[in-house]
Amino acid sequence: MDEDKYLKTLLSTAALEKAPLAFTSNVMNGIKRVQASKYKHQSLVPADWIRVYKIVFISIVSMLLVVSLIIELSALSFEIHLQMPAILMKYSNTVLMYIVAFWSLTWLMHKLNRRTKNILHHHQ
Amino acid sequence: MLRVLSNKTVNDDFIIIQKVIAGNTDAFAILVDRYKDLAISLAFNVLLDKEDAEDIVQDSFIKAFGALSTFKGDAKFATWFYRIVLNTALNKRKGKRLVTIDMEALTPGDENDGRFPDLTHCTTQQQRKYIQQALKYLSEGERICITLYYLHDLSLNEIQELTAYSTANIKVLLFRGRKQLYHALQRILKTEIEDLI
Repeated sequence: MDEDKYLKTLLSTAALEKAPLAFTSNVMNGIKRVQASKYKHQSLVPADWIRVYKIVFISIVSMLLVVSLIIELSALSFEIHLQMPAILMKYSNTVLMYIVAFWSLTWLMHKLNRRTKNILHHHQ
Repeated sequence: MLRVLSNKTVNDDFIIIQKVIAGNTDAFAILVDRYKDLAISLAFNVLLDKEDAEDIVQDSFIKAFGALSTFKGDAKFATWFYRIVLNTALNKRKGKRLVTIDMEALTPGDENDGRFPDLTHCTTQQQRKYIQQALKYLSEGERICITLYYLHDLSLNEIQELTAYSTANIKVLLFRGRKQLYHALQRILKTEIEDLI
């Protein structure tokens, strides 16, 4: 017999490893598990929606605060320009409050930005 | 029985892949059934461990399923899939120490009568035992090439595509592998006969 043919016959009977009986079902179960975890990451669960709504709400409020701060500061600078010493006393509390608010907002926006990035990355 | 991938099988694979991509996940089981034995044999010849080979092939099928949309159909599914199996097995092999057999123990001696040992009189179980023992005497490259060429029935070009060896290198590995297999079988059979006597 031709050596090549003989080797092919010999190896196909003697070197072929048989897969266990449950092999195919194990593979298919593995695939379904991987798919299930993939879909879980892709769909938005209620907790994610709550986070999204929170972010949108806080963003709107923050924007309103920033806009009002800008308006207030413009008015303040206008009044300072008119009557310097009295107005400083009058608005010192307001200025302090806005400094704190601005610092808090910057911190909040930084946190929100990170959270939004995380959520978007999670759903890509 | 020789396993030859006919054009019908190749086309059939492609149809199944289209079905799977379209959302029929269960159709993938046909491909698993079709290639599991050959894939395990390939992984086994890299790792020399049946359980590891099964794990690797299972992982490879899951990887292949995930990457099925990237399969363009310009090569056979078998070749594409075997490349995944081979790469996964070689990666696994990196961190594992194999039990190797001293090649010096296998020097061509007076047992060489110019013919390949005839195992047709042996039972399938004996044939399996001798072939598996003999394959351990081959280097990894020789084992992979011999398996892909004789067991998986791949052409030299397909083996080149799969292993990144040059055609000349594959021919050398096949030649050396056949020679090593021949001497290993001669030696194993001689020892068996001596043990019987």
